[in-house]
Amino acid sequence: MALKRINKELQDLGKDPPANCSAGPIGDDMFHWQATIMGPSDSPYAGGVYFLNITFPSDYPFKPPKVNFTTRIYHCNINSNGSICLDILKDQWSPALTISKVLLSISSLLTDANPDDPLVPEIAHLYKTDRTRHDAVAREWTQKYAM
Amino acid sequence: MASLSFASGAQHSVRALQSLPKLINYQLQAHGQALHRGVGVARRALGAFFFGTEEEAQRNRDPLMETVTQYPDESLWFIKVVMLFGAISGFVISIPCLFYLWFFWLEGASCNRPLRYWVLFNCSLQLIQVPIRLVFFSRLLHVGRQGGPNHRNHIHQCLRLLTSGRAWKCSKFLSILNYGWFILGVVWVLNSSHCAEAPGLWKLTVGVIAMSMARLLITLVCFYYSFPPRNLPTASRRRRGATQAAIDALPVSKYHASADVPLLRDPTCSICLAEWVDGDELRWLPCNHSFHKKCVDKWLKRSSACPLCLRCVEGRDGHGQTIAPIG
Repeated sequence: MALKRINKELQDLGKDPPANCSAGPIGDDMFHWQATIMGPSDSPYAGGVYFLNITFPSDYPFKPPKVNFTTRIYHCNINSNGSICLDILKDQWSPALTISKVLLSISSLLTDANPDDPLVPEIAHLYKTDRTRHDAVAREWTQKYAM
Repeated sequence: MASLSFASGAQHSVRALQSLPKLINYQLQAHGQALHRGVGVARRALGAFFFGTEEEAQRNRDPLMETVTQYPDESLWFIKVVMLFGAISGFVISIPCLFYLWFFWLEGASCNRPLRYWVLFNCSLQLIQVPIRLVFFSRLLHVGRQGGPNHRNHIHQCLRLLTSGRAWKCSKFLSILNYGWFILGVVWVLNSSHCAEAPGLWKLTVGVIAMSMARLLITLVCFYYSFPPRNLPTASRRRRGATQAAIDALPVSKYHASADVPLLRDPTCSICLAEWVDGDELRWLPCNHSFHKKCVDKWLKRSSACPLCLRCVEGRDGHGQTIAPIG
C-alpha cells in the first residue's frame, strides 16, 4: 500500500509539478526522498534554494512523512537541526495530504511564519518586536547558506 | 668575596621566593585547567552516552516515539514515574538481597538449583540500571519544569535524543536480559525441590520474583493511568480512533462508474490515490466524502476525522462536527 501510493505521488509530481518545489527519491529507496523549495519571492528567503529530506514511514499515508530541512534557514518554526514545527506533519496529518501539499504548506510557512508556536523562541521574539531586523538577518542567512 | 657570593645567593633565593607564589599559582592553574578539561571530557563522554546525535535520532525508530509525538505530556509523566520507581525499587530490593547473600553464601550451595547466582545476577542487573534510570529521571524532570508555550516540542526533542542515545539502548538491553533472567528464575524455583540447609534462600528467591511481578503490574497500572481515554477536549479527540461499531455503522456501496459519476466529482480515493474501478467497495462518511472501504477503515481506527474535511465521524447529530486544529 505505502509503496504503491508513493509511486503514484511521484507520477503525479511529474505530471503536475507544484510551483517552486520539486521532490523525488534519492536512490533506489522509494521511502527516502529529497525535495527542494525555492524561497518565496514575497519573503526574506527569496532567491534561496532550500533542500529537504523526506522519509516515509512504512505505513504511509496513515502516518505523516518525516520532513527536515538540510539547508540552514533563519525561521522561528524551523530549528538548527532542520526540524519543522508544522501541525500537519504531527497531529493534524491526514492521509489525503500528499508530499506536494506538504511542500506547499512549508512554502507558505516561509511566507507567513507562526511566531505564536515557535520552535526557536529567540527568532519568534525578534519577528514580533523588530520585523525589519528579523528580515535582514533572514536575508543574510539566505545569501550565506541557500544561494 | 664570600659576603658578595652570600649576598648574590640570598638575592637568588629571594627572587626564587618571590617567584614561588607565581609558580604555585601557575601550577595550580595548570592543574585546574587539566581538571577542568578532564571534567569537560567526562561530561562530553557522559553526554554522548546518554544523548544520541541528531543523525542517530533521525535513524532511530523507537516505537516509543510514536506515543511521545501524540501524547508528549502523558509520555513524559509515564517515563518519569517508571524511571524513578524502577530505580528506587531496584535499589530497595537489591541491597537487602546482597546482604543476605554476603552472610549466607555458602549455605546457598546446598540447593539443587543455583538460586544464589540467580539472586546475585538479578541484583547486579537492577543495581547497574539504578544510576542510568536516575539520570533519565533528573533529565526528564528538568525538561518537564521548563514549561512555556513550546514545552511539548522540548519534551519531544529531549526524548528523541534520549531514546537514540547509547544509554537508552543499554538500559533496554538490560531490561530484556532481566526479563529473560526472571523467567529462568521462575523455572529454577519451581524445580528446586530441596534447599534444606538454606530455606531462607528459596524464600528470598520467591520474594524477589514476586516483587518483580508486582513491579510489572504497577508499571502496567501506571501505563493505563497515564494514557486513559479521559474526557479529552474536542481538539484532541480526533487523534483517537473511532470505535469499530461506529465505523461499521457508516454506509458502504459498490462503485459503478455510470451510476456514481454525477455524485463524485473526482472518482479517486484520496487515501491510496487510485482511481475507482467498477466493483470497488466505498465507505461513505457523514460529510458525504467517500473512500475505499479498506483504506478509510484503517484510517478511522487511528482517527475519527474525515481525511478531507476533518469532520468527526462520531458526531452526535449524525453529520459530524468540525474540529478546530490545535495551535
